Parts: sequence; structure tokens; C-alpha cells
Amino acid sequence: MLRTETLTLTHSPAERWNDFEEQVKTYEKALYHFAYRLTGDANDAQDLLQEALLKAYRSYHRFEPGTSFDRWMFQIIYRLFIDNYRKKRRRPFVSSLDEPHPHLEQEKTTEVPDYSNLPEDSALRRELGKTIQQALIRLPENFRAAVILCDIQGLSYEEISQVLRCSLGTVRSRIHRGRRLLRELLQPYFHGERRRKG
Amino acid sequence: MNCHRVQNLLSSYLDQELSADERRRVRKHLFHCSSCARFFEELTLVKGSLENLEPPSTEEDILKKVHLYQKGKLLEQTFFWGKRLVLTAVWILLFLLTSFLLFPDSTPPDLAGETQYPGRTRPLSEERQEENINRPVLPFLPGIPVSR
Repeated sequence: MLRTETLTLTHSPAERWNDFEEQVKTYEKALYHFAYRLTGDANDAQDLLQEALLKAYRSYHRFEPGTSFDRWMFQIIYRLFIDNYRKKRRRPFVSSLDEPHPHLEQEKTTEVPDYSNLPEDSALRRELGKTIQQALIRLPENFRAAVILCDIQGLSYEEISQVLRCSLGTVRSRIHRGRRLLRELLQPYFHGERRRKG
Repeated sequence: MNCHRVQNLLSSYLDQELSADERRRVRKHLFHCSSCARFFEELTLVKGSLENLEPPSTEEDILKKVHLYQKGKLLEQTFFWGKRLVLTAVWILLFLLTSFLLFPDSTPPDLAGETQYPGRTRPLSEERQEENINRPVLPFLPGIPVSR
């Protein structure tokens, strides 16, 4: 710990930025992917990542060289996401009477279309991506984060427990429950796929 | 192992996060139980779908935005402290200017004699000296103790 502080104290602000920039560029895509899958929206993901990068740069002196930068960033993104989500939940919802009701809107988007007759693979993949994202968004945040870190980012249970700051047992349970919920939500799609293949 | 127990372990089995013994027991159960095998197949499909998701692309240069924001913040901070410093200097200058305008004669009246007789007090006039000598001394009042 002492070594880390001594190292960072000798850095000038420009050197510090260059060092930080290099680290971020290595993992930028993975970090954005994580933020995008958590929020389910490109603009929200950009805002979340921007806020997380700012926070990370301010506390960059606390980052220990030699440890995993992306895991450290995942932790910051997740904490920020949870904080923002809580704030949003506390804020009362105000909308115009002319606007469609958000819950009804959500219900409409969760309908899973049948892709069995779609000829183009790329379009099918895009649609599948959307369907899975919609299902992911319906998971509770802690299940969602665990599943994303495991299946999309490829982290081990041990690493996930460090990022989410919970026990291995909790990680195990969150991943399993998250996947079970996803399985239920994606059931119509899987049946369609089977019919298409068969 | 019963089905409930096995189904709870299937995600960990899929991620190869079980001990060798547990793996062996789950594998054995899956071989015999078709409903658990189907459940496992569906979990594998879920995991596969997530793994094959295309990473989203962004045209925004987020890092550049962060750098600009950070620079702006630094400038803002410098400006904030610079502004405070200038304001303090202006206040001090105003105070001095007002004092000078209100009290143009900078020598205090009590010290006016000091300029004529530096290092000692101004001597009393002869009349005042006379007055002092001839001033009657008040007698001590009886009954009042003299404090030392």
C-alpha cells in the first residue's frame, strides 16, 4: 500500500492521465458493454460510464498497480448504477396525461416475436439481442449484474464476489436465480428456435 | 441427490464451479433424469445466448469527454480561488481608501505633542503647574479602609 502511494505521488497530472487513459483504452469496450447491459439503453450507458470514469480518475491513486483494472472499474460502475437506481426509485414519477402509461409501454415491448420465418441471420441476431436485453432488464439489478459478469464478461464466481462485494454463496444463488428467470422469460423464443430447427 | 438439489446446482455445474465429487454426482443424476436434463439444456441455451450477444458500439468518445470535463473542473477551481483572492484584495483596498478619506489627518490628536517633544510627555504650562501645587488634598474619610 505504501509503495502504491509513493509511486502515485511522484506522477505529474499529465503522466497520471496518460496512465489512466492507457488502462481505459484497453478495457473500454468491455466496460461499455457492462454498462449497456446493466442499463439497457445506450444514452444511460454512456452517462453511467462517463460518471464512473470520472470517479475512477479522481480515486486513481487508490488503484493498486498490478491488480485488475477492469474488475476495479466493474465495481465502480455497479456501485454507481445501484446508487442511481435507488435515487430514481425514490424520485416520484411525473408524466403527462397524454403520454402512454410506462407500465403498459413496457408490457408491449416484452412480447417475444416469433423469428421462425425470418430469412436474414444478421437481422435475427439483432432482434435476438433486443429480446435478451429486454429480458435482462426485467431481472432484479443484483441478479442482472451477477449474470452479466458471469456470462457476458466471463468472470469466475470468486471475481464476481469481489466486484459485487458479497459471499460466494450469494453469487452462486444470484446467478442461478437470474438464469432461471431468464429461462422463463425467454421460453417463447427457445420454443420458436426449436420449431425452426426442427 | 434429489431433483430439487440437483437443479439448484446446475448453474454452478454449467460454470464448472463445483467440486469434483459434486460434479460427478450431478452428472450421474442428469444421465438418469430427463426433466433435470431438459432444465440443464435450457440453462445452457440461456448462457449461450448471453455469451453470443454482440457488444454494442458507441461513436461517442467518452474518454475525451471525461478529459475535457476534468480539465474544465480544474480551470473552474483555479478561477474560483482566483476570484476569491481578487475579491479579498478589493475589499482590503476599499477599507484602506475609506479610512484615508474619513481620517485624512493621520496623526492622532493625543500624540500631537510627541512631534515637538519626542520621547517624553509634553510639559505642563506654568499656570497648570501652579494649579497642581495649590490643589487642596482631600482628607481620608474615616471608616473607609485604604486598599493597598
